Amino acid sequence: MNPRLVFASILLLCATTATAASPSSSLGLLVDSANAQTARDGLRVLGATPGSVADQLGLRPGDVLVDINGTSLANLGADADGRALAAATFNSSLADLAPTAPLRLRVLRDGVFLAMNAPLHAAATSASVAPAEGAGDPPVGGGCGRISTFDVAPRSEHLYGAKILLLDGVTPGPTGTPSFRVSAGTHKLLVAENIPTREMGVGSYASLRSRRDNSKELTVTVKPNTTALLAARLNTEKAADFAHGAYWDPVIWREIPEDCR
Amino acid sequence: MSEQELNFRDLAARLPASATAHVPPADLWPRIVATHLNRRRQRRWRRLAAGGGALVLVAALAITAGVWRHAATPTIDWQARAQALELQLDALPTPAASNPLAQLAESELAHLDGNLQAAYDRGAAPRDLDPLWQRRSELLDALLSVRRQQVLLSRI
Repeated sequence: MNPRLVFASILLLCATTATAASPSSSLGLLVDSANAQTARDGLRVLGATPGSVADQLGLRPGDVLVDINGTSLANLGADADGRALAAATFNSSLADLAPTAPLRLRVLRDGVFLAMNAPLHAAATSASVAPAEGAGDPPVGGGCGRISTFDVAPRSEHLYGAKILLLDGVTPGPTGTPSFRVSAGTHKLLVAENIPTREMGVGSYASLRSRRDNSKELTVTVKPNTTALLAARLNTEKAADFAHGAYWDPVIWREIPEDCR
Repeated sequence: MSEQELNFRDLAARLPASATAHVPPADLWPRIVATHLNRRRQRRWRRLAAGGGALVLVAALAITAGVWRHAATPTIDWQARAQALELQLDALPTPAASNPLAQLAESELAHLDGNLQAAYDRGAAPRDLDPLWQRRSELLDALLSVRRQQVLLSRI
């Protein structure tokens, strides 16, 4: 298969999507392209991104893609590197489809063949989150909001999980809750980072020893009916600076509108 | 008594002759000292060697125990966990209204899945795939908790 052709096809398909690495990714489909041995009956589905076209089609982990628009994906063997040729065939078939062409899949699930169909242009749908209304406005008195440690921060921005040790000098509760309701206004937090050691680029022993006292203070202004999402930002340039704690900072990385009642 | 005195005298008379006959060599005492020091040194080395051996043995035992414990610790199959969570998510009713937190989780999941697929496409090793599956599992867990809360609120 010509890599340039595939790349051009990918670009064409990705023109309507925000982020996509390969045609299967643009569908929100995760397939086992690395292993030809598991691709005898077809291409094995490892997962479908929630909310994606693959998810809406009804694909799920364990499914086997037997053919795509009449092109068989079974018994295609391996390429020179031992990877499943079925994946390359699937991607090229997908890339060859016109944006408005129907996508027809035959799927093997628990020994039963299923037919799944969807227009490809549905792949243009992508999740996007608008910033909270009034973001940047001065805080409004009264009302309530939330501070959340819900760890969905993008790792590509070096944002990791954080834990609130103290909220206005008090241990927040109940334990295990990722979100805390607070009155609208300014609050003082004592925050601990939860950055995985492997991201530090140093030995785990050295890292654990030096990270015992890793809490930092953060002042947050919570707007009414807004959830402020807290994270720990890894300062990659100072990743080894444990002594002064310069390797991380607590940050509010996003504010989203959410009724706090 | 006189017999004893005689004996002493006799001995005294004989002594100078035998003493001169058995004059020790001049280097005897230094040799004795050297031998003594040598033996002390050997004993010290033997003790050190025994101590070192014991230390090595203890270290070897500790390492073996650590390796055994590590091997005995159940490792989490993050891929299986993520797939199980995905099936749980599928089983939940589709929420009527979108939730900003769920959207954030989905957005990060889409980004992560792109990276994960790229890793499979380039034939990444399991040790490189594992952290990605772990993160996928965490995000699905987060999404699941939001969706469950949504379902609960819609029922109330």
